[in-house]
Amino acid sequence: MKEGKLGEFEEVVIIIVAILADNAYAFKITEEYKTQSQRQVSIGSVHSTLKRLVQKGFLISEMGDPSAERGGRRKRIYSITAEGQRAIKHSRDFRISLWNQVPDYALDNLNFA
Amino acid sequence: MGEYFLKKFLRDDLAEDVLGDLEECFYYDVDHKLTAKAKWIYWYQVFNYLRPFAIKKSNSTTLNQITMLRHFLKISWRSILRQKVFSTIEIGGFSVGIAACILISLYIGHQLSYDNFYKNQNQIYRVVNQWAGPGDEGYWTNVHGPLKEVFEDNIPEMKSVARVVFWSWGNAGENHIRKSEASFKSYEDGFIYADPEILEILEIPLIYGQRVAALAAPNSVVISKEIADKYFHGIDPVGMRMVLNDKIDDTYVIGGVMENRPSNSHFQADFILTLAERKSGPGTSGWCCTNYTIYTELHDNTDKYAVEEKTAALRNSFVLDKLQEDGQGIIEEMRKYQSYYLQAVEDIYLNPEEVGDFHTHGSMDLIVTFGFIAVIVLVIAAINFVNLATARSLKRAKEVGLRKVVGSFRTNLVYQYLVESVFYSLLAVFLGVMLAWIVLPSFNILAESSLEIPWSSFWFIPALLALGLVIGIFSGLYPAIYLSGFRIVDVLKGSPASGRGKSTLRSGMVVFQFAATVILITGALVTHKQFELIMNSSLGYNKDQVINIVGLESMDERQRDLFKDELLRLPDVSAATSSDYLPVEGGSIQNRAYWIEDRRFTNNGLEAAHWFVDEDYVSTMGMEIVE
Repeated sequence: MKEGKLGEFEEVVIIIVAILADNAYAFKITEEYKTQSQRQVSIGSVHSTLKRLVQKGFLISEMGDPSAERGGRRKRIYSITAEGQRAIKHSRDFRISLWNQVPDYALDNLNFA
Repeated sequence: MGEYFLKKFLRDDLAEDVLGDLEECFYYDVDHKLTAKAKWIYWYQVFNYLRPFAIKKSNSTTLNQITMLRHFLKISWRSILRQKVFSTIEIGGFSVGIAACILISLYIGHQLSYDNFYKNQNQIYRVVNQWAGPGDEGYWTNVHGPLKEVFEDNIPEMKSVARVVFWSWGNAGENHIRKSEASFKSYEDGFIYADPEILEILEIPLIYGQRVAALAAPNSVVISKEIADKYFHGIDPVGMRMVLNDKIDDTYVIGGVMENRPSNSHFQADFILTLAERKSGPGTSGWCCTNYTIYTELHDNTDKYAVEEKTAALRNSFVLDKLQEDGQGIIEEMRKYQSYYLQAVEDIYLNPEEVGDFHTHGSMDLIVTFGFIAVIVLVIAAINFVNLATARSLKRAKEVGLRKVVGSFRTNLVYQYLVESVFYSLLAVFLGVMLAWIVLPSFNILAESSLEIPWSSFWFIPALLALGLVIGIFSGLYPAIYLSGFRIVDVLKGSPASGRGKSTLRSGMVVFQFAATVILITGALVTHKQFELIMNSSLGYNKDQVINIVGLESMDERQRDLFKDELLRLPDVSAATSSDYLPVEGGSIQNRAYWIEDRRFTNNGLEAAHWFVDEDYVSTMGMEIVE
């Protein structure tokens, strides 16, 4: 895939992977997303996004340790690649630069706390 | 539970971590929520894994089956090509059978669909007379006009009642017609008279105008869309005037435009003239004569037998009393034998009661016969197919042997031949439908119908596929079992089909096939003979070179003579005559009773038809006067 562009959901998923660090596997990411965003999402759809991000080269995955509550099955742990880091940094910088360009009086109008 | 299902479709490399995730999720939910809900969520998650990325690329066992299927189809196709003539007969014969079957089914379907499309299907009836005298039974439609009011006043179960005049009385039948402002007139038929209620009773859909109002005004008329398009193309003609036969008295105001009558209704008309508030002629006759067909719509949930009983009571108190006042003689007989019968609207066309009326009818016997023929034709075609497929087996015996040598099971061979015969039969069904589609226009001319292949009906394509499948399996079953039963050594040695010999089943099928074919051909020949007899037997007049010019009703006597003279001047015309009657079915018939002078009240009269003709009628028609 050429020049991976990040969708909104994709971006959020990468950031959550960053938050969860060593514990970033599909079920945990889904739970984190649900609690943080108050939105419903299925593991399947998160998984398909993770898969896509791996294809784009933003994430890599490796099998982790088995655990009892998983019926002795291993987890697939995701971690961010250098390219992934660049992508979320770029997207964050882009937004911050956009926000910095908003004039003060306009910020007043937006009525942020 | 869901785990098994998930494993079925999930890619192997994903299975471990996905199953782990879901199980963790499940136990997490079990801790926090109800178990039932956790299970429910598990399923939800499973279904959410039905995504392209997660599904197995292909399943090894189905792959094998698909390859075999492809192989079978390829072999089938090759064996078609290898024996072209043979295959053409086999598949062609089959598709001809199917085409015939489709056409007959369409015809039967159309016959059975007559008057079956009303919203109030079960409330619409036609009132007919019933006569149950000794040795003299029957039904006919013509009833007294005032019966409408009697019914309306005395039978509350009848929602509405309408009289209709179908026979050529007044302007019913055929007329010259012109727009009131135009002078050019043209000839049209399909005129009937009816009470305004008929639009409601028969739920006649109007394009312009309202059902309640369209025929309410005196001298109003409802025309069909076809007529409206012809005379008032592209405009709303309601309120416009049309003149019949150049008579200013017969000016009609268009009250509405109805959809063209569907071909599967007995009630056919292009012009419905109103009977409302007429001064003379149709609509005004009293207890003297029975000139009307009466339709009625009952209220919901009304028992028609209860209504029929009421009509019987009314007959005694109203009809017979009136007839007595008018001095009609057969009252005693009527009291004993006559009654009214409500005929359901959907029975009018097929007419099991054989009611005498003015419509064309289908016949249940004919439908059953045709259905029988369709089945026979299909069976013959299928048997033909079976026999040819079995006969072909001689050539394929080596193939069977070889397949067995390389380790094919008998079930595999059965499967192969079933696939092959289903393939053939689907091919034949496809060709058959195409064939039916191609010959349908000619068939329509032959059967005087307007059938269409119901391509867009939701059941049509599935039904055809099912037909192909069923016939394919049935006709493939015997060859499949027969062929797969060959013994390897025998076939490879070159003495195929040993042991079984000629089975009685096969000979039986051939005999049946021959017998059925002979019966059908004999039937066709007999019908043809009958038809020739009808066409060619002498009828006492010359019909070959005589033509009938219709639509001259509006000419007066002088114009008519002029027209006749002009005709005679044409070099190709040898004789001409004008009359009101043709000696063919469908001509107007006017019967009267005749008596020998002075004996009117002592002898029974002799009923005879009278025709108005001119002096050249007998010579023109090539008739001979006997005495």
